[in-house]
Amino acid sequence: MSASIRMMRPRAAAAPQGATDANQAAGAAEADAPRAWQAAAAPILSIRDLSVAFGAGAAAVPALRGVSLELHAGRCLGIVGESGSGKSVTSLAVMGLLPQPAARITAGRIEFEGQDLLAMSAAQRRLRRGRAIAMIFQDPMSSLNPAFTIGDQIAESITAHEAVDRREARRRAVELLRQVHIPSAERRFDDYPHRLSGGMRQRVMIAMALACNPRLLIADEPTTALDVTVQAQIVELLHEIRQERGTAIVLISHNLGLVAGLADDIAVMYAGRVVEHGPAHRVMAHPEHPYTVGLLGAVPRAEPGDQPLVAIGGSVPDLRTLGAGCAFRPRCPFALPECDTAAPAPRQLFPGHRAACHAAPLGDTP
Amino acid sequence: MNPAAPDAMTTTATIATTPATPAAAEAPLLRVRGLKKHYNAGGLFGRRGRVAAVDGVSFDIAAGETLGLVGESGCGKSTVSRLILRLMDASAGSVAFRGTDLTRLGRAEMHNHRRDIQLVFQDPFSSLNPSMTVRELVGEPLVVHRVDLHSGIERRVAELLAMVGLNASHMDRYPHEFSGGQRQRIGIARALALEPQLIVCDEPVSALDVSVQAQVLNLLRALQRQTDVGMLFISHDLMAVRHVAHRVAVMYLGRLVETAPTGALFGAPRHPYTRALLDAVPALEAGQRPRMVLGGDLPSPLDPPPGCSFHPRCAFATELCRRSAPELAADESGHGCACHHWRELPPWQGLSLSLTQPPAPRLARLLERFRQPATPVMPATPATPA
Repeated sequence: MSASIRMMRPRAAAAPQGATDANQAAGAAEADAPRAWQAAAAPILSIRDLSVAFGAGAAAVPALRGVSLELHAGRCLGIVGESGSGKSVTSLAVMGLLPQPAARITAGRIEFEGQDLLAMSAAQRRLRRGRAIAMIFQDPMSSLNPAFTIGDQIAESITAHEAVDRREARRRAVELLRQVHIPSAERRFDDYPHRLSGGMRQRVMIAMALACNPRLLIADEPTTALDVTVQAQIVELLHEIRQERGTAIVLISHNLGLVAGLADDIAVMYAGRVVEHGPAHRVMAHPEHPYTVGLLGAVPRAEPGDQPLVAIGGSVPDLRTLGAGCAFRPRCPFALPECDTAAPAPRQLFPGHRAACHAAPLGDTP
Repeated sequence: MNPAAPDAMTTTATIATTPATPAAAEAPLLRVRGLKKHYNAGGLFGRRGRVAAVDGVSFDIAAGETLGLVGESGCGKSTVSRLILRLMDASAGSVAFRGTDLTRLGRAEMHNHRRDIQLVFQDPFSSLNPSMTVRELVGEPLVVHRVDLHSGIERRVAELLAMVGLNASHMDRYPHEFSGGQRQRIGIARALALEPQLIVCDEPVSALDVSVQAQVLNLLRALQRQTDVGMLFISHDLMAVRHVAHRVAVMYLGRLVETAPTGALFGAPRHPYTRALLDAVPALEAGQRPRMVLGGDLPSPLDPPPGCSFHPRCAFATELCRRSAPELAADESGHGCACHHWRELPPWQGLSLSLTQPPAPRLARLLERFRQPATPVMPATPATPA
């Protein structure tokens, strides 16, 4: 895990190198406002240099290798990555739901509202889970108990955290069903999960997650199992929840476009690391990591003439066989000699915009 | 590369509207007419009715043409592919392959036709036998169909692997040694082994990592141009369909609701459902954009709504839509739409510009770097002086 130590430097220590100074100065004027705002409020969620390994000893697989992320109250952070990039492991670590004893947190801190979650007892964490931090999973069918009505399951998530009687729990559960736009909520309360469509089930999951009015909602691929038209409905619903309740949201997806539609900030993950992190509009319009560039090119869009799509060659690396260098190196057309030997640390290239790439800022010269 | 394609588009479209019976020589590669698949939905307490999984689907595919078949899960698009391959029997309708109706063939006759129509599966993890080497997997169709190869199976397998961008040295490896994208290449090599005239691709990229999907899409398109094979490309990913298909058919609850040349479908979609599908495609830019979000879900095919099956979710539905189901009628450009009111719909705002315009100059220049390696194999280490 020597590679992750490089990433463990606090952000201030990761001094921008000469090439980035001009870039920074150029953006300094624009950046003053968001920076002042960020300094004023402590982040609701702060992940520092988090490393997680599955298994032990020589066979250990490093799933996260020094991940640092930050989310402010009421904001939405989108995490984009492919299978094995570590996006789901990150969310499970925040929830305290990493499979035990397979997964070990080998380094790092997770702070929620200033308190270190990793230092808490299991009981203390359970108190926060559901009440302060709630999560929506990818597959709404396997996350609901088929033997109980949806109403009972929502009511249970209320009574588990608050001392309310059955009638009050039912009233609030119906109200939640209404808020997630389930038609005839009163009647649907007594339906079993199998009677609902995939989109409806995901709405029920969201209603359960909202039951205790959490301050942070983690949505892990909430639309992946759903049809495209229903995906759009769920994204719309998350947008509404954010606006009406001010809930901070972590939205995890493999779809860059989907995340960009909702998130204020985007973190792109690759092979257990955050390779790029910045304001959504900046990352989409001015990506600084070659992987993000490739992802933007891989989406079919109108192309001049009949050119093939831009494809990132090769495939996602095996985490067990990562060397000392940058994990994206074998697929990267911008690679430099140092990419083979040293994993790049995240560097700030523009206020609030960081990329972990030796070649950044990506220029035009070959 | 494909001189027949524009012609084929217009001819197939006119044929679709005229019930003529041209000679077999003029017949398109594949002509599907009135294809239906009904199931008896027998409940525990007696017969409850019929499910029309596919309810009267007609389309043509010309040689060298790709037809994209788009729809949400449960709309019947995979059933269509199984009916064409005769992995199940149709309740009604015909599937004419070069003039021969496959639905009427006996078992032995069908076997002879199977080599001409091949399938690329969705999931390369479950569709390759884990105990067979690549040599056996790709060579198996040749053995099954007793293809007499003078130069030997080995040479043909190497040739096929080269076609899909794999190395002949991979021949003795097992599927688990490959990534998802590579496995899908093996599946494609297997489908190509018998030099089929038609390839049915059922969601060929949806099980792959995003960064690998583009490789497979490029490969399918390149192969089609090289071999002039006809292709039925089934997907729920509209942007992928837009990239590979010459024509697109949109399916909803067992029926086609719109068919059009790709440019027309994405430029000026007529059916409200097609518009909703296009609006649901995430844009490549930050922030929300105004769009029409379709309410509700796909209705149960067990209990389809009367009239137009889309009317309960349609913002433009009228009394007419609740009463009578519109027929799909194509105009002379080959653009057909099954909607009573398509002419009266408000103008469509179009796809997000981020999806239709070339990327900004800086991004375009950066993306150009990814095009440098000619084959989608690992790029070699660039010789950089230290």
